[in-house]
Amino acid sequence: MSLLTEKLERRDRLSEAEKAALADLLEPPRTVPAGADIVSEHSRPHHSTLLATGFAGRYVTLADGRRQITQIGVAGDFVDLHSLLMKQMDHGVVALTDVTVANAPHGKLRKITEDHPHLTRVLWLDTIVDAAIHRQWIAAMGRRTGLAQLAHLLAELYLRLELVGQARDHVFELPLSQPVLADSLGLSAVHISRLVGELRDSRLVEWTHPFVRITDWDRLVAVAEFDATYLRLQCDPV
Amino acid sequence: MPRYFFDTKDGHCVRDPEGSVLDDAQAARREGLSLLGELLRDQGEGFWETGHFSVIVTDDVGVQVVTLTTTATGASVHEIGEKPDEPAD
Repeated sequence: MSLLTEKLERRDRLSEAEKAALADLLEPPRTVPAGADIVSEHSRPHHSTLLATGFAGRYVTLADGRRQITQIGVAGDFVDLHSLLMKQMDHGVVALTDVTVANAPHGKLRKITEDHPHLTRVLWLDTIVDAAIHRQWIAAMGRRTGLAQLAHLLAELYLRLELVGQARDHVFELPLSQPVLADSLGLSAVHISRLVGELRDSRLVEWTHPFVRITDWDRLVAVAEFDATYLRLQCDPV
Repeated sequence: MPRYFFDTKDGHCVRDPEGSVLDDAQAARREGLSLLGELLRDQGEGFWETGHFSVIVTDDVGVQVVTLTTTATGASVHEIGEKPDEPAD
């Protein structure tokens, strides 16, 4: 809960009334084991789900059983705030590690949109950043080299984890397997293994699973052509 | 499950030090083909330095599973590819 408030407050200040509304929004936390769906494709949820701990993957399944992960969710992320308005899920969200989540009933979210217009805009911004992340992933998958793609993902995840106090000093925990990274970047797992070796050999990162230390942030950012504007990390009134 | 190694060769050979654990040789061939496509895309203009690129898949005792090669042919290749091939390893 506090992770969500912390994240939202990095983008704009919240009043005490708004914080109270957020505190009242969430049901008690529950756990979902790694590999299980948090939200299933084509389901019609009556609540949105906040990820409290662990990693989640937004995914689309192909007819032959393969999947493309289109966003990685971290602690403090609503994995499907948009289900309030989309109603039916066009994609699924899977637990990539054991996770803790909390439900936010759609009735209470709707009440927030009626009673708290500013908080509504702050939550809207959160879904806008989701869309921005998807844009950057499309650009990376369509046009960047594998090395730039992986470097871009590491830079993004570090900043998003740092935002919610889950990473610092360029070190973070990334308990994701190479096949999961392959599904996230649209590359083969063998290629991911080779790229991890390349990042290590060029001394951009130290990668001792599950820990990643970015040893040369400036060069990593240069390789990735990473521009953090899309993460909207600054405090700017909405 | 068996481990397979995916070396690559253009002018020089890049060895795969760790290999990857896969179901069987068919899965290794599939991964090899994906890798070839992805690496060619990453190479871009760099491909023309030699005009050929191979992915060599071997199993954990060094037996070759498959070699996948892309080669440029035609007159323009000789104009672009100025470097002579290095002898094979």
